[in-house]
Amino acid sequence: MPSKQRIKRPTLKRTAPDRRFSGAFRPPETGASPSPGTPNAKGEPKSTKKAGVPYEAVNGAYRLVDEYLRQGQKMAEELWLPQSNGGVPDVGKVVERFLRSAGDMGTAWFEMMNQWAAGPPEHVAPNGGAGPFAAGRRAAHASGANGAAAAGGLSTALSVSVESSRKFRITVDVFGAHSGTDVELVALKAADGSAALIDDIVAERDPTEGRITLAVRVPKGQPAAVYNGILVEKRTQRPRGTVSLVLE
Amino acid sequence: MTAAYELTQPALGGRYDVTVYQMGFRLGGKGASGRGEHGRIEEHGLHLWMGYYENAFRLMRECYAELGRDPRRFPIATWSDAFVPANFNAVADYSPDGRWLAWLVDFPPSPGSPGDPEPRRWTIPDYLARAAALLRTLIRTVEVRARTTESAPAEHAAFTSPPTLTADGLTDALGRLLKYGALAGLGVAIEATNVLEGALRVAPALPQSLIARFLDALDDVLRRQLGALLEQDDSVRRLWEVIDLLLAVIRGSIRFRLALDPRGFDALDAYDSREWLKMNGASEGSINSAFIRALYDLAFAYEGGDTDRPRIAAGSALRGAMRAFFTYRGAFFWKMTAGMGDVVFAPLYEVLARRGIRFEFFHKLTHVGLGSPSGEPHVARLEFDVQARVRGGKPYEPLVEIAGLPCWPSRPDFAQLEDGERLEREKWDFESQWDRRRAATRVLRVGKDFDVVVLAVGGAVVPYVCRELVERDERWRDMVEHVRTVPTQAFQLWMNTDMRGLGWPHPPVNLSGYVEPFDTWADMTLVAPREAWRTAPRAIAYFCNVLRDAPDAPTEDPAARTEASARAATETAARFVAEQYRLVRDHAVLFLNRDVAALWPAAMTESAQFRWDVLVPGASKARTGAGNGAFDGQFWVANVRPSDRYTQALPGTTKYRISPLDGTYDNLTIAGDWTNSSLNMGCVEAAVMSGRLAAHAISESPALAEIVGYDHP
Amino acid sequence: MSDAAHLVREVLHEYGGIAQRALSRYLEQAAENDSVYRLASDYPLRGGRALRASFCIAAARVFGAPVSDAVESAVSLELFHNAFLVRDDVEDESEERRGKPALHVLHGVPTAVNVGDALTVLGLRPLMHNRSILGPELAWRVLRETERMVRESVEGQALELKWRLENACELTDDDYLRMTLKKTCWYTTIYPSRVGALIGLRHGEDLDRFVRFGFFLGAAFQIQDDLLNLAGDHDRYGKELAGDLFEGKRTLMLLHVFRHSTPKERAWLRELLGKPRAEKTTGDVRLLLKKMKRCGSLEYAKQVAHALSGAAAHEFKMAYADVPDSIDRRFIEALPLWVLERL
Repeated sequence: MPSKQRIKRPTLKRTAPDRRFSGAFRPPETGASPSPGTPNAKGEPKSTKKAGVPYEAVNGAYRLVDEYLRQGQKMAEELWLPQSNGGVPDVGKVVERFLRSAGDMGTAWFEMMNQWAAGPPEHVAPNGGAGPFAAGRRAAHASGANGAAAAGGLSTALSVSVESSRKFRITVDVFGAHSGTDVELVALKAADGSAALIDDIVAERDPTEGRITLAVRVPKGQPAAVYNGILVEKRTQRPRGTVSLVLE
Repeated sequence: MTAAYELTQPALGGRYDVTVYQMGFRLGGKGASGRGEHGRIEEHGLHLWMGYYENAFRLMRECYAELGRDPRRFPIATWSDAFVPANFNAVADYSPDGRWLAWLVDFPPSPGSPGDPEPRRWTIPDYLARAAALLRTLIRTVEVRARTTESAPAEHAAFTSPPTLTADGLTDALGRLLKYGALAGLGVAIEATNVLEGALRVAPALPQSLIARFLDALDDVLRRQLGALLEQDDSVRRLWEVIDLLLAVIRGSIRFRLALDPRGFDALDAYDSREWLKMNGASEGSINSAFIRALYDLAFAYEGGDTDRPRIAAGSALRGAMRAFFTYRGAFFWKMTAGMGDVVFAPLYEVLARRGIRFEFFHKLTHVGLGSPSGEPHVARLEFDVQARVRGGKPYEPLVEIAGLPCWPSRPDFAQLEDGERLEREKWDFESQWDRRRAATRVLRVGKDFDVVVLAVGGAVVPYVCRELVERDERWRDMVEHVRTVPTQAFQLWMNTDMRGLGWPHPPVNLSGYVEPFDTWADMTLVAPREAWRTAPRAIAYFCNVLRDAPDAPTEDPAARTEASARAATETAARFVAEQYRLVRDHAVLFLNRDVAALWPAAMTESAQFRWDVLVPGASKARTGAGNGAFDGQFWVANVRPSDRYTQALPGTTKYRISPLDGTYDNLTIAGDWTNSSLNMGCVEAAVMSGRLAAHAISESPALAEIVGYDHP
Repeated sequence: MSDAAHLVREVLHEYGGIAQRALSRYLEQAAENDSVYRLASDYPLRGGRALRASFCIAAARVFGAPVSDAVESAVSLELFHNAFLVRDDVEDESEERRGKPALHVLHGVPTAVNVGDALTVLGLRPLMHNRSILGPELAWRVLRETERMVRESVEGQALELKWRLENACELTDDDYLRMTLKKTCWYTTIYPSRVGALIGLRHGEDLDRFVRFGFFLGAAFQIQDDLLNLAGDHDRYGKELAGDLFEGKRTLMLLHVFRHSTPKERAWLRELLGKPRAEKTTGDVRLLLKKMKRCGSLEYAKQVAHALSGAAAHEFKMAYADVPDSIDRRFIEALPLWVLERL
């Protein structure tokens, strides 16, 4: 062991980037001036010790409250208590509101987007990746709209089949191109506000073709009405389209 | 090298006495280059510098200024001789009907040059606003191409003046967009991007849900307008893909509240980029677009080198993309006019040697020994293999002069080495961690031979030399396990026909996103004058790609072995390296026969083979003409040796990187693009930033505020 | 007095008055049923500024809600506030509150504890009335916020007690801030601004911005409180001078002086803090105060309070960016400076 004191690195005031970048509390840095050879020869003003106190205090306080907020979210999810920022979107309520105003599609659609957009993203865990690149592969996956509906210009591999003893007409409207993503249809509810419901819906997935078939079975004796339902993406719970079944 | 440079800045008054211990005979690691027959440049791969590499460029500019070369004597005397703008780029687009097309992009030059003083400070709202502005440009481009007729309702004019961005203002704009969206043409969408840009600038202050709704309304309008066109027109389709991606980025940034998150882009690092884009509404087509493929290719973002597993941390990638596209100065890419060793490491070497830094070549670090576990954590011992000794005990002279320029050779100057002939005959591989042959060993002790250590070995070398650190310290264990590297492959062609003759009619290009096994091509004809050909080649092409990790790669710890087993391990490793080289050669030949045709249609014979006769024959490899034997005269490399592997930024791994500022060991700091440099991507800029951080860790200079981009969302 | 200070005073007077009157009504009604509620009326009726209630009402009005929508929540908050005061005084062994002897001094600890409980229970009643005023869903949300607020306050107090029991001395400023966030900020500034926004906007999105604002504001408020305890005007302040030092309360100043003491001084300090209140002499306390002044601990805390007040002003802009101008907005805007001046 060397008898003299070992030379050590200095203790640094800061050891991590400050990504806050709000620009609000950024005092001049203390420390060495730049060397003469630099293109930037302008030196930074020296800061006094006093300026350090407010900066450090506020910086520390920001870090504290941000960490606190992050933990609060996590904890709230773990407990049965709903979160501090307004609660988990209640799917049932939203669906109801949508169906009531299904005539005014635009507004209702955006109301839903409103809800989903406010949802905390931490609910969606990372999945590991989006699969290999498709370019150059000769076996292109299936595309093309299905169901008796016009998809809005961009195609998706989704079909809806209906089994019913009564005559029916079906309309499927899909938003955006999400071919292959897993969607489900929760239920078809009567638009006239009655409690009538069609929920015998089975999803069949054909992974090789990237195709999903939703098989709707209408029970015998189901009253005639207009039934509406929402297609949601399974993983993120975002709405992907609507299904409207007119039972005559 | 950066750390050494910073520690010996004149302003520090010679406080630090620096010695650089380098394995082998060249500085630069992955960035080293050599010179072969005819003085041709032989690189590890393609090194393109980006216009946002503020720290790296500043270093080089200062270095060249200090070097003070006489422009009459040296073909590369100033930094602008060494680096030239490369604005013409391309990505390989795969159209739905199965054709490969080059999608050419000409980035506009931007004022200033990287490394200029006082770069602007960007915040996330700034980036999002720029993204909206870019969106507007793209939509305008589509509008022109699609020649849509606009129905222009009278209220349309109300959009043209930027609305006051209160929540009310935004709500109004949203209402109008909804009202006219389906009917009006793309003009409405363009005006909407004006509103969006204003909104994003003040993003944290506006209700997030409102902006989200606005985005979706815009998305809706665009889809309706473009839907039918996408099938017909390739250029509309490509633009749509980028528009879709931009919308996803903006939408995701809002949803994830990036503008308010103290972690900035790091908040997204648990996700893969494409996964994140998809989560935020990007379509399958867009995440498979040429554009995205090129980004992954340039970052070698394939786990284990397997191109079926594209993975990159979404946050680091997005940060890199934002900086690349929105903060570049001068040009998007910059090319070097000679080998990276000649342009970067030779000048650095000369400047540092002049400053009095000592260089000990042929010193291969084998072990970092710590002090006793009960005392203060520190580095007590450094163990080296002295691979070769220099005759007469003189310092090794590493450079040679080629075409008037000091360069690094591809092989060491055996004449300077003791027993040089034998070393040459026995093919000692001085740049491989696996070749355990040495002339001697050497141990440096703290307090006697050194005080503080900057550990700057390559990322994949760390597990070999830091066994004690890994054993004792959980964070080092985690880092070594999670922060991964990947091998790469590359080849270079010298041709006697120009590119036009090969069927490429456009200006010299950098192209990426093409097929495996070589997805990236750069036209490097500009370096021909720096080589020493009697007749200069008419075209030079560099290709590179990731290389799959071989299951039989040597991994065993070479230190804990007897002499005999060390010899055996060395031989096995040498065989492995040779096999990998053969594999790369096969890949290259296959590529040239099968895949290059789409890029160079005139480079094929009638029987759809590559026209091997366009290759300039090699001097020493005497086989010329016959079939792909001509390829043997070209250059190829398998970067499988530990110090040649490329550092990746896989999802969920950023948090395991250790920062050079970490003070756990009071006389150790680290440097390299595998450390937590704040940029956290495998590139020169990250390496330079880490070097500056390492210097700061020791001397508190440069100030952190001086390290451009360190404090960046 | 500046215009802003005037404004604050006026708003406090107006909204505070509304809240006090509603509060008195609750207490009177309750007292008719049981005498414990008469005792419970003691603290509330001693006066005080009703800062929290006023803030709550203003925070709702600023988003367009009528006063009547916010009154019940404001009153509930004042009741909880008084419950906390009773509790704190018992746990800190304080002697005085608002110029008169503390409740447990007058009636003994067991009764005081019971009175604290009574006030807590009373605090729930206005929240139930919210149901008919705000509708069941919004009332439920306010209730959830209240549960959170009370829980944080309890946890914050528990932390402080733990420090006292363990005679913890080597605490950091972060520790102090974290405790203050829970114990004081939640019910003084975070809850009023959140609930105000909840009532005014009728949705619970994006309430995190008020946590930041409320935290900085409340922390500045508390540090200033601590400073006034050592150096303020006794009449205005309402608690006995330097009472905190007798209590051994861990303030920023105390932590600072500890950090800047020699090992010998630290040992003395540790011993002093470990003594129960009764055994601390005035001489000891005076000496400690002198040390604090010498080390610059008071100056330090003052700077931090100012810095946090500045941060609060910044966060105000973020939190209330899309809110149109009004007296209520100007009132809230003036708070960051007001908590330092308290005129």
